[in-house]
Amino acid sequence: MPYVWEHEKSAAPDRSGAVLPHRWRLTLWPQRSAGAGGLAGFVGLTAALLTVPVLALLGSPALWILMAFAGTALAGLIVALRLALRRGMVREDLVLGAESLTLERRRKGAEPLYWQANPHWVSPRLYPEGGPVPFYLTLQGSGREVELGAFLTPQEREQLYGELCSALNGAT
Amino acid sequence: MADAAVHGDGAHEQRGFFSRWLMSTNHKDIGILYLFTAGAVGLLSVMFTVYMRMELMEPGVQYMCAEGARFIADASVECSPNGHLWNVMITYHGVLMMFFVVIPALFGGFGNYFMPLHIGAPDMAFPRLNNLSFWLYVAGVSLGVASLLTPGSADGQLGSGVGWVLYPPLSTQNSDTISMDLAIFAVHLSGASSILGAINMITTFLNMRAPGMTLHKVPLFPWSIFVTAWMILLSLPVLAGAITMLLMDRNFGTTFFNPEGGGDPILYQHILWFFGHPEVYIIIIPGFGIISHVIATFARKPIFGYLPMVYAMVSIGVLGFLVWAHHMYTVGMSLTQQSYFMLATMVIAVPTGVKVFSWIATMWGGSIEFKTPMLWSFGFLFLFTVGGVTGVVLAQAPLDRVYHDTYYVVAHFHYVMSLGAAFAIFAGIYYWIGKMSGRQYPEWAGKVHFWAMFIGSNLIFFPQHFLGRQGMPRRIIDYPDAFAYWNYVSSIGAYISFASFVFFIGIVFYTLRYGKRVTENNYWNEYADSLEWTLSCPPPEHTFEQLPKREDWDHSHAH
Repeated sequence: MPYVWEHEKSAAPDRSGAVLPHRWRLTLWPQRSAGAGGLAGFVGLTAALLTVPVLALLGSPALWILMAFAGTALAGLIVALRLALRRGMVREDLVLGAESLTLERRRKGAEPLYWQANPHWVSPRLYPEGGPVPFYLTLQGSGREVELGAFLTPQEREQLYGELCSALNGAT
Repeated sequence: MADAAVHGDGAHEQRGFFSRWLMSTNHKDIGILYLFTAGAVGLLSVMFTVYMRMELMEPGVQYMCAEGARFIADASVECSPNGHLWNVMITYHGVLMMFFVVIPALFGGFGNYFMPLHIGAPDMAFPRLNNLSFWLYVAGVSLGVASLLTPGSADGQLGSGVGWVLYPPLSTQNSDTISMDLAIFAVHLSGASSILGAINMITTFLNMRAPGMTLHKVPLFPWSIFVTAWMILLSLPVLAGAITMLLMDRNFGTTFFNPEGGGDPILYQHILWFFGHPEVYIIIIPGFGIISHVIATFARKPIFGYLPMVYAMVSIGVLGFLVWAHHMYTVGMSLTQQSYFMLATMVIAVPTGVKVFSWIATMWGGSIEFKTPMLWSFGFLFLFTVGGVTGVVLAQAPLDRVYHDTYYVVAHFHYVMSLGAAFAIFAGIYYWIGKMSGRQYPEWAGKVHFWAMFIGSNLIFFPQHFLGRQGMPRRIIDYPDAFAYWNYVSSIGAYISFASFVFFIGIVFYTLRYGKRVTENNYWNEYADSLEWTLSCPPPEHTFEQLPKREDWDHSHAH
């Protein structure tokens, strides 16, 4: 499942005698079936196999013609895989403490986006219909309504909604 | 932070005919476009073969006359042989079938439509690139047809008569004519289209599989498309290089393949076959994927030996790059080189045997239903195996001395490649036409089509083994009387096969217009268990925008 909850305990309370604050960190990312390492390995293997016909022509002017086409094909593959990988590099981090809730969205090649609100006044909402995706999940607070996990499956968003409600109730 | 868009319009816009079919980026629409375009080009290409078989039906030249091509023989009018027309028919049949019919149908058509569905992806990784690939293919077809209709011979006759392999020095002659250059550009565009399509398929397959669908859980059809895409990526740039050098030799005064300038025509053959042999597997491997699904469905058993089937495809793909020179035993290679290529070629029989025996083992003890797609799969198994056996014969360098450039070779490669691919295409069409169109074909008609095609195609090509053993050379417009009997039989087979193809066109149009509506998502049985069977018939325009759940595709009895 492409999201994970982590429970963090602060090292020490802000003031003596205070209740030890708890923080929840939720990290979400889109489903991708290949990792960067696997794709790099695939590109390496493809490059190695593309050299088979090219090596046989070492010393021949035909080498340069073949290399031009083989190199273009390899470059095309690399660009496509990098583009696909980059599209999958979206990450949302939600940090829920007793006094604040922050949400950060990072996308490769774009400025990170932040949103902060008081968790006492934040309410999660789930729209089974009418949103851009089924079971659209949002957080409302600080005068805005922001989306969360739009790249997850509807079932995952539905489950996450319940978990968010519990976490917000626990935190506040 | 991304603000919520709660009240966005989730409905999909309605598109008109032109925006749907001319500007589509939807993988299903593009798959259908590939299938119909490949079918139309296939009809043209098959018509060339019927004309050739008309000519070869009896000794002497009756139709392809220098005085003018005819369709009705008339002994009272003089007819001197028009060898150029004959060579043109051979060339365009080969070029169209190799580059513009079989790969576009299997890889472009079925691959586009079903690979994303099988892995639970909403579309291809790059939908607009997919559209570009299709239109490059159409542009390639147009250039191919333009090449056929422009002067290509020294005496100004239309088309190029050099054979699909475009060997120099034939292909570098007549450089003041335009037909050969157009043919080279047509192949270039086809190659560019295939390479872009391959990159798209690879990215989709690697990156967009449903959650939990590891590589060892991917169904066999997407695996076959992935292996094919990888082979295209590795081999087509080599072909592009070879034909670019041809183009330069023709137009820019280079001598890559001209001995007078220090070039080597045999170099072209090596480069061409480094692409050409993998091309055989590029054509047939998607068929392996289709046949695996069809056999598992109608034997009502999961495929036997899923992992060996996957790795057999990968092995065939890799080995396919190491055996190219068995096409050119007679060019003067050393005995050591011939021994290597002979042994390497025979090694391919091992993974191929794994596949054939696994298909048989899947059927073994199964509850087999003889529906039309299963009949085509049986036909595929028989024809592919016959072609494989004669392939082992031709792999022997000493035997190939005898059979080289005879009709034995024509029979062999048509059995293994063209009949194998055609039967896989028909199996796929009958298996999925209900899914793609929402209407089902009449079962009796599918069976009539199968039996006519099976009998017809065997009548065409089986006697050609005998002709090859008698010593009849390939690529001749006329022959001695000694070869008359089996040529007559072969031509009868061609007419039966062509009639069955025309009947098939009728079946498709009848099905699309009047076929019985399909109401169930899965109209076969529970052993048709890949993800497309969870969707309606036809599937909605947008599929798997919600990623599929694991229980939709990970069945306990599968694989």
